Amino acid sequence: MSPMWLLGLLLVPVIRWLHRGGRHRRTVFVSSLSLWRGSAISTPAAGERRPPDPAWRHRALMTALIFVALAEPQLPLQRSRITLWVDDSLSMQTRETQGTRLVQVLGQARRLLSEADNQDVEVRSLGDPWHSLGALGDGTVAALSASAGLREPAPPPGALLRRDRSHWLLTDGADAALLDWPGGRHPDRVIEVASVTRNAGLERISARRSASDPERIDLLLKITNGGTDVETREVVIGTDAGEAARSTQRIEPGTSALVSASIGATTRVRVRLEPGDALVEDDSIDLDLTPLRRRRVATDSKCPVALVAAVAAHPALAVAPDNAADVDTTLDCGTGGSADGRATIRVVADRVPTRLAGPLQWSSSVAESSRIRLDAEALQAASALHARHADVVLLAVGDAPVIVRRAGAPSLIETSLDFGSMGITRGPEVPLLVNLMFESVLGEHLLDRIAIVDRGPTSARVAPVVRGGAAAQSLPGRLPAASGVTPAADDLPLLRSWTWPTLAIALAVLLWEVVSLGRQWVRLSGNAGAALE
Amino acid sequence: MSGVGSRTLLALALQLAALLALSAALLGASWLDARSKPRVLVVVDRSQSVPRAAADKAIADVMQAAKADRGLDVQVLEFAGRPAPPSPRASEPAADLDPSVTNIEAALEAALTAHAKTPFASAVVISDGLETVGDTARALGAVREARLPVQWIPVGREPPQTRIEEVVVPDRVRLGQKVRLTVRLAGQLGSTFRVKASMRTAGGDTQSSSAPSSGAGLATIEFDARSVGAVLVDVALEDPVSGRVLDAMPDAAVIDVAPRAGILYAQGATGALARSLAQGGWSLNVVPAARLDAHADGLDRYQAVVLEDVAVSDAGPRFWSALVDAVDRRGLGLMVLGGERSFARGGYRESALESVLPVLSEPAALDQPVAIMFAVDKSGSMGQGSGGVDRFALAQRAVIETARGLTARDSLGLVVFDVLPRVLIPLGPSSVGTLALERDWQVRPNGGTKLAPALEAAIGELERANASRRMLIVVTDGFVDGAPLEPLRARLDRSRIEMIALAVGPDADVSALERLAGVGAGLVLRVNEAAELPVVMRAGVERRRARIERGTITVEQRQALPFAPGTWKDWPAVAAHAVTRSRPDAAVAVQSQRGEPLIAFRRSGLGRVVAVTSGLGPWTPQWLSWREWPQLAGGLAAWVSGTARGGALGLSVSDLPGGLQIEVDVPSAAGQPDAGNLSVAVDTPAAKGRLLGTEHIGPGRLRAVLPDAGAGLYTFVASTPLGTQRQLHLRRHRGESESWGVNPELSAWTTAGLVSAWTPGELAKRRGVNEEPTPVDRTLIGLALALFLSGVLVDRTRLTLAGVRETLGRMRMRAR
Repeated sequence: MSPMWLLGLLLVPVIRWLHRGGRHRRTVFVSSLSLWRGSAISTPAAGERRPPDPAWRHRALMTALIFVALAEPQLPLQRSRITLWVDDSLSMQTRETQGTRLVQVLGQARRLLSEADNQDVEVRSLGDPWHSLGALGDGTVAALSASAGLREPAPPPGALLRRDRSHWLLTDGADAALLDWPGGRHPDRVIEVASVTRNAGLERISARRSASDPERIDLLLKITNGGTDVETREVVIGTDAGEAARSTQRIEPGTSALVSASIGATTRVRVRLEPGDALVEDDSIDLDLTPLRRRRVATDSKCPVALVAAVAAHPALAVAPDNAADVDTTLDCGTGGSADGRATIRVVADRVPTRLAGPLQWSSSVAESSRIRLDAEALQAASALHARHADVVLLAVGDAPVIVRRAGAPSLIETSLDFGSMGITRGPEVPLLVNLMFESVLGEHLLDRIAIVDRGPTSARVAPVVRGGAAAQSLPGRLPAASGVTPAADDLPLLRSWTWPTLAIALAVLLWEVVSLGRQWVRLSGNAGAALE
Repeated sequence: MSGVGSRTLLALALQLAALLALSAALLGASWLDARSKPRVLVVVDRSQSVPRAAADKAIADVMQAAKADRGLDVQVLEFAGRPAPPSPRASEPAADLDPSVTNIEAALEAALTAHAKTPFASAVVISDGLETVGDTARALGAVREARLPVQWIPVGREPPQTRIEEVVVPDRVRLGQKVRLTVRLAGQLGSTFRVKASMRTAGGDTQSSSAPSSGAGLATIEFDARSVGAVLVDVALEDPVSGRVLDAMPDAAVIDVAPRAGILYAQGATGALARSLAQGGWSLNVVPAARLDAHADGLDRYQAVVLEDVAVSDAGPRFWSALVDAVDRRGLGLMVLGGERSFARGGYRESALESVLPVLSEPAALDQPVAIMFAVDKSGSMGQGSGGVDRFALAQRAVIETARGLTARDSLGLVVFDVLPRVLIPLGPSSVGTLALERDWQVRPNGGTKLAPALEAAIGELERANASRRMLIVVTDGFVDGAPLEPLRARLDRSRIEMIALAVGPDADVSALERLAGVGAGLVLRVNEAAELPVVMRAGVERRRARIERGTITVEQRQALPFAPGTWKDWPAVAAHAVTRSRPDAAVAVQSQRGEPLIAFRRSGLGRVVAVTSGLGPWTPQWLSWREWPQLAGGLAAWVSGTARGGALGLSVSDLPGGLQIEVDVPSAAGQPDAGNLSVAVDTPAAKGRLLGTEHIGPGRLRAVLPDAGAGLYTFVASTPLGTQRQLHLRRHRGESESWGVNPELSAWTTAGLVSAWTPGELAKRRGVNEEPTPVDRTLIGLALALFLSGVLVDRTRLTLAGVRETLGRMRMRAR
């Protein structure tokens, strides 16, 4: 809107003045001036002001319309285009009296939308905002229910907050961050459903092999009270073999408890909380422990004892006979090569072990924290390795590569290190070198690996921390349990430009003017012709 | 035609022109109003993998096409790791875009945000499509959903014919050492290239050097480690003739330059090793053994501690506790060298110090009979005391308690003296002597002090004894008289009598007693409080009886030293060593012919400990001139100074697309980790000392995340009460510097309709798909208005010169 252009409307009186009429004048032809005194004029029209030219009206209208159009008028738009932003966090699966929060909040939105016709509604979830779910139908509700809790929701991206649409937020208010919209924007309407305020949930489970006993698994559980009351839960840990442990936890509202446990080796662990609550989905958690399994290594019988002992002692490796089939990798000390395209570590020894001169040197491709501290002078090489094109020299002593990752597939690591002579140091060098080579050949972390399922810090929170989009935040325990609809905000009206319609009318008026002038010109041309005749 | 008619015709023509102008404006034509022109957004990749010249040429092409197509309004959005705001033209290279990263997703989201504010007719992306962060395909899907057509101009760089394949460097060197880099080249290696490398520190110190490549594509470059701290290595490959840079690898590696090893050297003996290490460039803080207590709180500053012939009594329990803790939990190295006051003689048996040693001190050699004469001062000053107990009474008790510890094969005698000696108990079997001692001595303290006659009397008694060991124990609190000491000292040596002198109280003539006792053969024990006299005397005798093997002892190497592979064949003999036995978990590398440990190693907790029971000094005179001595001395110091990676903690840093993940493993011995007890601080390329919050993420593991981490050097320091761990991490985006050409996925994106190929003529053809119309051109509206009003004026006025004059004249008349 540019209101200064409206000053142009001051031209309207000028146009009116240009079309003024003035007094009627009459020409009286006399033969002599003396007769002028005796002449008479008809009294009815004498001295009267003639009316202005009617053309002034459409010309003034035309002028006014164009100045109004230049001012670019904007009028409030009928809010017919609506985007429903649906909070699809796990807490939306909480069972309320009439179904889950998600179903309830979508039902409320549907009722509100049904009050007005001709609405263009699209649904987007806060977990996957770039993907439009289309109109609000049964399929949309089902899709949202199926995917709730799978992705961490976030406020909608600014690029999708188009100003020609109304943006409604459908949430339970448990995550205040979802109201922190970009660019200072906030929802035009908030539909909030949350009456349940009690929940304790399993937020995270992680596992790793026990440092003291590699045959056992250490577990760490994080249980969060996302409600407003103190909760007490029985934590039941189960494995393939049945229940493995049980403990009782009392958790204050808004806090978490860490529970440690140790279980025997297994492939899967399932933890559940008893008794269950309104949010069933976070009362149990499953963890696949196969990433922690020992990788079987087909070990050449010619390998040095210290090397085999280091493989056997590695918590993530298991020694297998060199002809075993179900192995993950091969340790070849001279009897053969890789079988079936398996990843292989080849210990090359073709000469008498000699001490290497020079400092330890690492490839810049080996992460700094993966480099192990070694006594270079304790290392001996039983071969001379040469790096070829695209090979990576993982470790060198002076100029001599001692561990080389060969280019191509299958993955192959070659080392010239003489592990037999290093074993006598009784230090951690051999096990650490073994770990370095196996991690490199298998392309994964083996030592101290952790298996984890993490639902995120807000997953158990069910009590609303903000009410109706208000800026104020409060502690969960202080908020009333209620559901409601915050009316549409009116401080940011949706506007539509009326420039084009105004100009269209002006165009029509101009056409009228052109036609009038054309007719006037034709008339004047006719009169002139008649006069000449 | 009349005048009126011609004016009407002119007015009609003007109105028709106004009509045309207005119609054109309504049909979307644009003239001078920039707002009405279709807008095109050019998204330009400024990451390292996109050659700037080629990208600039592509921008120029778009600009030219826009100019040809009704003068479209072009906005340029540059990006690399992060996007810049759209602007009318391309800017100068901007480092804040983080050119070591390509995040096309972030750029397209920025484009969508700009599109949401003011719609664009289309977008043109100029990039190689090789994103290192983000999901381009997902972002393109979002752009398509926003109905913003995208054309793509692929711009990539050609792979160099010869390039830097890999840089191999040491990760840690000591100050003053040579740093050697090996650069491997790949591609066409037919000719010789020049490899240029530079090392730069945070302080601005830069060294540059270059070397020609070999036929195998290897180049080795050496630098000096001139200052402590992290140094970054940049490598470039040049054509030796033209000097043209063929390839470059900035931030190729980081090397940690550590200070020379700091060693706390507690010197209780000659310090032969200290001199040798100092000459070898080691950083030593040599302190007398008696001042060790002052270093109980400062052990963190050292990498190793050397105790050379130091007794447990030289320091208080606090120091020993701190030392053991630092060895076990922090990984402090410890070297213990034998001597007259070490191991069993130093009171190591069952002490805190012994708990970390690789050897255990053998108990006193009670199977070796000893003849002991006690010489007790009964001068008047010995009658002083408090609480009804005087020094003489305490000396009596000390003698009795010490005698009770003797075996039946031992013998004892007693001489008391003031100015004259008096043999109260002649030397005889200990059982008889002990009974006699426990009776009333019939002696009262009085008179002066004359030591020499008493010593002669006692020595005379001992010379008559046939025992293999002879000991003279003297208790006195006064000045030694002026009698010459040398003959007495000589007589003691001649008769192989070991003397233990207990100097009681502050007035005791310690220096004279030390001269009398001699170095090695005797011992002077200070007794500040008379009440300690019984304990000190008993312990002193027991330690003196501790076993020390003396003579010409042949040495043999049992296994390799941890710092020197293989075995040395010609070990020189040693003159003596403390008799110990090795722990089951220790490695004995060097031993006596009788199999007693001489050099033994052990890891205690996180620390490395070596014990040299023969010491490295008076008992090993031939070692000091041996050809292997420098390697032995330096190797021992280097081994104990080396700490196992991890120290008290295990700290690992992982590169994630959006930042860095730091995980700290706390040893299980320390119990469950506590995030409150751990602090992780990081020096980033932009700020120093930033603290990171940690979370207990798994059993024994804490995790911290550093989001939005750009490329560069990061130094992490994790601290717990157990110790501190430092870890360097060089965040690189190798995909950026080592990628060439264009992402092959681009054709898939084109096939999927996410993008279209660059077609200049269709730059703004799809205009109108947006929901918001383009603003009408104000200049065209203004033109229409001007034409319209002109037509009105022409129609309504008769603008002749005479008419104007007449009007002006009338106005003047009215004014009058």
